[in-house]
Amino acid sequence: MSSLEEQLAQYVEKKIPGAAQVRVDQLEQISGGASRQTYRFRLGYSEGGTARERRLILRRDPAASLIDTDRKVEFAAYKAFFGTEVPVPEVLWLEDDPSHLGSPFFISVEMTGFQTAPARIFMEPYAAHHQKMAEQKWSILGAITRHDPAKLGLIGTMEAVKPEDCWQRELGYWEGVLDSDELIPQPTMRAAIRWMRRNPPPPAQKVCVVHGDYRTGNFLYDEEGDIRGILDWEMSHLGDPLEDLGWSLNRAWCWGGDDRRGGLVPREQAIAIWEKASGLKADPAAIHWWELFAAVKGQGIWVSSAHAWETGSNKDPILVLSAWSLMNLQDRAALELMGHLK
Amino acid sequence: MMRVLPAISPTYHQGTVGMIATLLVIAADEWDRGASRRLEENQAMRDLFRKAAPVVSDKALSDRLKQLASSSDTDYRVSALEDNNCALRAALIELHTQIESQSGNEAREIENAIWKEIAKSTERRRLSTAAF
Repeated sequence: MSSLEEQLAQYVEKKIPGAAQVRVDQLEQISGGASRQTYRFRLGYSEGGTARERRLILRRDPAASLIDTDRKVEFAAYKAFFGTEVPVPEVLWLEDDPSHLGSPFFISVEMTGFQTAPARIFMEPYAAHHQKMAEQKWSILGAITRHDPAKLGLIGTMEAVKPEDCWQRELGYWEGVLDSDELIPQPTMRAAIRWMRRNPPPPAQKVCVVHGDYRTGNFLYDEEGDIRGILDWEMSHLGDPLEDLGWSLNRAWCWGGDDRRGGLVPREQAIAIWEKASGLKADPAAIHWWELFAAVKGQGIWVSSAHAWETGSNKDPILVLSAWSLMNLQDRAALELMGHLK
Repeated sequence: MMRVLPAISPTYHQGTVGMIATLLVIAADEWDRGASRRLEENQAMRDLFRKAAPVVSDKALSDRLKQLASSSDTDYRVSALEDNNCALRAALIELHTQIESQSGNEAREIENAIWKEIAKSTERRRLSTAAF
């Protein structure tokens, strides 16, 4: 059996007309979330006698992941936003046929020289730029809401939903995940779900593209505090724009150990930036509902990861670490939102 | 770990070892408190069920709560305590759902007691490494 480098080179050779002497080297697995195996590599080839080189990213499906997602949706989201004010890497090829690399995958251009790690925002020189990062983070999220999904060409790839149905569809999905994957009963989350069904949010102001995992840790930033790329669109879908805002405010992302959301700014400030950028309102009762939903969704993800680990379908330590370290935190987040955290 | 981690390559494996080290810290927390927190919690839920059973209007649930209230932990292995804990927590969810649908002061008192126990339960599980 040939190496992954050789398999990649054979695949790319067919994708670039006129390419010769295609080679792949410097292949290295990197942390790219638990939903896909992520590698960076250098692609070299000759085109019309000219030597060319590109730094690329391979995102390959594992046997089991934290999130059951459709790579077509993720690929389409990257493609739709490329070249807009929402910075994303350029995607090149999507491949569903597992015969090439053992499982489906897609390849994108690597955006090099930037950071993603949440812990690093507290180190110099990044620590001095929290305000700027926050302005950009929630302004970009606002910009996502301004794009018409139809004009982006995402209708059909992403499942349509009516404004009044957004909350039910999402809550139903994540409640179903808890039903199927929970290893221990979840009294806090079950109480939260019952409350949410008794107190539904208003219909979405508009149906937008929802990133699905918009948080510190899923964007690339530079030493000047500029956000250079929004990553990890694997949970993107059409829905209520408040869903992303609520997720971005979730307590799990308070990386500084204080109340600053995303480790950057207080909750109210983040909301104000988003409202200004989106032109939408974060009605207090509605955003409260979506923040509580974020806790349920987060718990659904950690419960799934614990299930995958326990059943042996995926033994990546990130699955058990995220489950073990974050399930209690999401319970605390939900209790805080419901006024029961002592 | 600060001495060993930098010597590991490639970076991806460095991250994996770092994660395993963090897991060991969490496991150490659990090793120490695993039996204690389950014993405490199981007893707290049994006490709660004893108070709630006469208030619950669903007779079948009330009978089951009485039965669970009179149960006890006799096997102190964590796995056995966890089995009992899961059974009790499942009943707690049923009780919570039922009591939310009942009116009256007694029902509200039981509901408040359930919330207090859920909050305490969450605190018992809190990790020393938790950011929040």
